[in-house]
Amino acid sequence: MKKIKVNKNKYTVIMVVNIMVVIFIWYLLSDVFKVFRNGMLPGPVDIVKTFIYKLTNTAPGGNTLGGHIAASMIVVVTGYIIGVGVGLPVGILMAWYKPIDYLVRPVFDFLRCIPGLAWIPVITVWLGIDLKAKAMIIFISVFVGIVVNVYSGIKQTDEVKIWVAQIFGASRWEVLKRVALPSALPYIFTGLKVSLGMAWLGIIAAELLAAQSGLGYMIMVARNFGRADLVIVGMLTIGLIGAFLTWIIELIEKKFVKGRR
Amino acid sequence: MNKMKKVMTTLLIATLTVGSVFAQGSKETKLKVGENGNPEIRIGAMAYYLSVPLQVIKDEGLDNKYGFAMDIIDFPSGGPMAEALGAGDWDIGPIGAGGMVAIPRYNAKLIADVETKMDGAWILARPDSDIVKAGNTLANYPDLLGSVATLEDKTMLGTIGNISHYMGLDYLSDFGLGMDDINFIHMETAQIYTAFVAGNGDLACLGSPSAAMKLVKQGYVRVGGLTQQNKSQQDAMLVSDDFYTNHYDLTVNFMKAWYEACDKLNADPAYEFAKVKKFYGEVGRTDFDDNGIQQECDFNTYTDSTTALTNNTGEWMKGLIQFYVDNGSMDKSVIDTLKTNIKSDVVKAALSK
Repeated sequence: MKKIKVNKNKYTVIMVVNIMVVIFIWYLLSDVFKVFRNGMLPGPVDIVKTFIYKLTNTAPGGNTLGGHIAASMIVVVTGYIIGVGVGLPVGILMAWYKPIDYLVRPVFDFLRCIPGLAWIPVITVWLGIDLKAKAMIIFISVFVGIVVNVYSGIKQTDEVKIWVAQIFGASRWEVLKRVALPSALPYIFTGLKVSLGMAWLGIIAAELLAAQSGLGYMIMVARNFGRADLVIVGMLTIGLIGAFLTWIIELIEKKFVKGRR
Repeated sequence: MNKMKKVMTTLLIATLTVGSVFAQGSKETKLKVGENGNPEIRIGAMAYYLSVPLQVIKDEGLDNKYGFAMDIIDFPSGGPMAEALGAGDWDIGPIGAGGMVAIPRYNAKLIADVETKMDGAWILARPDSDIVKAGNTLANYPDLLGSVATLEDKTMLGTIGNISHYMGLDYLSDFGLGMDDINFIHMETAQIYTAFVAGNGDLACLGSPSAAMKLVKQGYVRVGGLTQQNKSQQDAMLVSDDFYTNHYDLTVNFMKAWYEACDKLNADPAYEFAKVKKFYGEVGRTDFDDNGIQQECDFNTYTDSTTALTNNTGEWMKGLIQFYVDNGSMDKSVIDTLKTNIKSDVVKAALSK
């Protein structure tokens, strides 16, 4: 137990040192050597200043950083919940019932190759430009990620375990509930994490469709005004929120998946 | 732990090496030699009216006459074009509102205005909208339609940071309104067109004449526009800091060719029509018919060797940047950078006898 604690502390130190080294290298490249011309890579100090400025100021883009985060979270969470809610049963049904697999897979394999960005013109016409259109773009990305992982997870259930359950008289539904789903949990949680990343990737595409606020919107506005500092603030914020949400999913995973510490 | 120290040290040494190799200094770009044996200028261009003189330069052999070759690099819009200038990817080129980023942020020099007269950046509404029904309510702006009551809380589609945003905000300010009084939805030009036709939004701000004219043809009504709002609409000729500093004579020679091309285009409307049509054909534009091209030719006039010297170079860009400084989108310091980066000496040198 003591050894585990020592190892954990060691890795925490390595992580902190690693982050500090990256920031120092960034500082060297941007502020000391000025590798990129015309301030195209603002230094860490400038980024912190812009971050603090944007907490209370609305220009450019008409909203504070908090307002942009809230706007994006609404879109991401809506699209994510619907994507998981639909993707989970579809993935399970495809993996567990062959006729459904044969029926759905060709269409799914075709649709999953189309990136969220490519849907923008048709979604504009079908769903307009409000929340449901943006959530739809997130939904598409999340749905694909969830289905692929749930499908793989259930398909890889140990056949011996299935036979044992069947020998003891378990129905098909019980085998799914008591054997296949628990053994697929690591894949399902991987799907949840991967899809969360896809949702945050999709926010840029979704807010490219039409937006009044949001982190993707803030990045685009900053780009149009040549504000590399604000672009980086937007990128870092997306990264930090994504990492935070992934951490929450990992906490839940630790509770439900056996063998995870 | 020792292993980690080694990795970190190696990483730092690598950074120091890379940094010192690529560290910014006063580097001069070496020019390639073009097909005609002359030094090659990398020209930034867009598939719009502002770049048509390049077609004339090419067709009339003016590049060869003035001792340069052209490598034309096409961009879809001013935003990416400005960023490419920042990255050092082109030397000279005509640009619109994208210049407001390129000049203060990437130290580009504004050496000339491209047009003296322009139109086609318009705000469109649906024919049955109450904005159109309100008619003209501003005596100072007889071509504007709408009223404070009909505009409040409406949804306006536009692209933040380009001419459509500027035009939309200026239109609202003529009614004493601001961005907080409406819902301004940011979209790219192509999306604005699709969304508006699909029934979204009450007003479409379009900086692209082709999209605006297409909507008018479909029965949508023009309620505003830069010209109708008594605001000038122009494009500017930009040159990168490096090229201006290190290849001044070539910059002057390019402008000599540019003005000779503009003189030809302004002198003969039939020639202008033919060159615009040829240019749009060569760059693959299919959104225009002959009527559209004629209308665009009628709307616009190039700054030529006669008008260039009487123009107050860069006034339009100053107004545009001041507008964005006033609403807090850009820092005040960009005004000073802009002033130092407007260089009218190139035009004077190009047109001196």
